[in-house]
Amino acid sequence: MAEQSVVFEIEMPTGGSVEVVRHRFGSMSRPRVAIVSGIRGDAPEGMRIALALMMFLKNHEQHMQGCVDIYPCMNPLAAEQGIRLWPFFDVDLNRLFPGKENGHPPARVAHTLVQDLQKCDYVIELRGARPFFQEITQALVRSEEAASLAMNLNVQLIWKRHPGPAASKTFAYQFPNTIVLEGGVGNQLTEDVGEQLKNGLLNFLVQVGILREDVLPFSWVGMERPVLVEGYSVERIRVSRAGFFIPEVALGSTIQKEERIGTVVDISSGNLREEVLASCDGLLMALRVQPIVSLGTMVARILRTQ
Amino acid sequence: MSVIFEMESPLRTPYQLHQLEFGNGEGPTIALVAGMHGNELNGIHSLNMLISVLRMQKIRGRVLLYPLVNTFGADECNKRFPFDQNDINGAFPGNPNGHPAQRIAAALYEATAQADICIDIHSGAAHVRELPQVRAPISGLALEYARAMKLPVVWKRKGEYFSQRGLVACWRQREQIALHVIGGRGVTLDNSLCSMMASGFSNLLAYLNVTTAMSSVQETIEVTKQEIEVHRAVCGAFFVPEVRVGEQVQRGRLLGYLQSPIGGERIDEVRAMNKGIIMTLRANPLVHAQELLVRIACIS
Repeated sequence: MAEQSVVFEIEMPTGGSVEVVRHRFGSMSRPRVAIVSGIRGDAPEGMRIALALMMFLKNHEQHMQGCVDIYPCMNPLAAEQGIRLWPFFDVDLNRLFPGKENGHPPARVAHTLVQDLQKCDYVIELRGARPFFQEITQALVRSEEAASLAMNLNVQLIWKRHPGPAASKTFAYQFPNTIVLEGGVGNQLTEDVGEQLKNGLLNFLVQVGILREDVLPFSWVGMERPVLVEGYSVERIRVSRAGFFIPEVALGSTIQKEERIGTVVDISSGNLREEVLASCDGLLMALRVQPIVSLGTMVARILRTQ
Repeated sequence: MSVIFEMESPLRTPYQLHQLEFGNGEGPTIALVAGMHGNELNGIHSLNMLISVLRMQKIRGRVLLYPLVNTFGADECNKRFPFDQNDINGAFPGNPNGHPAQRIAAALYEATAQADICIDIHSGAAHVRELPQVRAPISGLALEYARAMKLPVVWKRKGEYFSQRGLVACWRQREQIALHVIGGRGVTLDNSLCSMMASGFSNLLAYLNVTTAMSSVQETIEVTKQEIEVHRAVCGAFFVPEVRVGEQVQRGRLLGYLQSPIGGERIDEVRAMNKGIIMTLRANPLVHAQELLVRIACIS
């Protein structure tokens, strides 16, 4: 039977409390998959997928071999307000890993999660799109093994990235084969993205032997065949003038080098300040939807055509 | 302590509005409210100080205390109610079917309605420190009660300067007696100023014969808007004060100076034009043009 456990209780100064909860489906046998969402409070898409998956597994637990642990909301205080940072301390939980046993509550939550996941075979982090952006569905990985596993996740793109300077403090970095799922629009739900990634996760559970294929509510034939790219294959398009960015292309479209992606106009006068052009041929994988931009603000990512 | 209102929340334990009640009901009922703004901590502490006094006294009448209304905001050092960033003190008389701040306001308004007098306690904003002061109408019983507190300043104000959706404003619209007490600075705890405010509440209760007088007498200045000297920044700058709240100053005294934030060149000096008591002092030194630096309650 599904089991709900409180893995951490945040005691509030005024006397209330908030619980960080784990839902366990199946038995404690191998393989064990951990699915973590809501590390930041502005990624509700990940939380929605986690909840949808929980509803499915509740009704199909009898068909399971192995264990699925779902942590639907690691940062409940931020999620309540739809904000990125943990309130009061104003810290990014995803820059506090592996956490501290005796630190402030965010650091202890990070520590607790890392300890709880020590014997997991597979770790998946669910996010949404980054704030102010719409993005195609994608899996972020840093190992060949994770990239191979991600082929089953029904995403359009697998992006194998080299860890950046801050990466060692992120959740995903703590477990080398972590797969991070992203997509949709920052801080909101996108119906087809939620469904697509939920189905990808169910397919993944089939591939690792936890679910039987015949319980899937869809056919694997319709699954996405993702493109695998390395970090250098993605071009970031930044504006060189401040102002109001008006996009002229659609997410997911194929664009040519020098094609106009959008314009930056002066907010006071409406005068054109910059034509934003594509730096290469490729697929538009992320597009800024919050129009106010400063010098150097990224407005698009293009997956370069090989 | 009792919970007079409870409201579920998305992820944490339910919101609860707590009331403490002292007394036998054979006399007037006074309601004291603090912590509607979750980052104003002096009112909370001053009421808890008052509680230690009330526990030693025989109460003739009733004292209703709400030391911390916005618990969720306080947990995050947030003035407003966190989920939707609404101001509870801008949501009166409230709505039991409205947004969270309106529901809390409705519950508090209903609970305090049984009182004869309501005192709403605040700190100054986060960037200023206020000498404990009671803001009262220019005449009538409310002014008499304000004077009875013997707080350092009684500021007599015409009309209602605060939000028409505030607790005091709604009480006055019902022609009931309500007073604002303000002391210290937001975000921080000003312990000595909290003691003054607690003494003020104790003085009022003694004046109403609800308790026996205990507090020491404090010197009070009574002012109207015209008797308050106000200094504002002539330009955006870095303000360095040379005085403290509660300090008596003479005409010509240097109150502080404005300097360039980068380089430290002195731009302007702020000097007292009248004898008086420093009742408001800028705490955050970075100021914009025309921002408040100092208020002096003038001694005629």
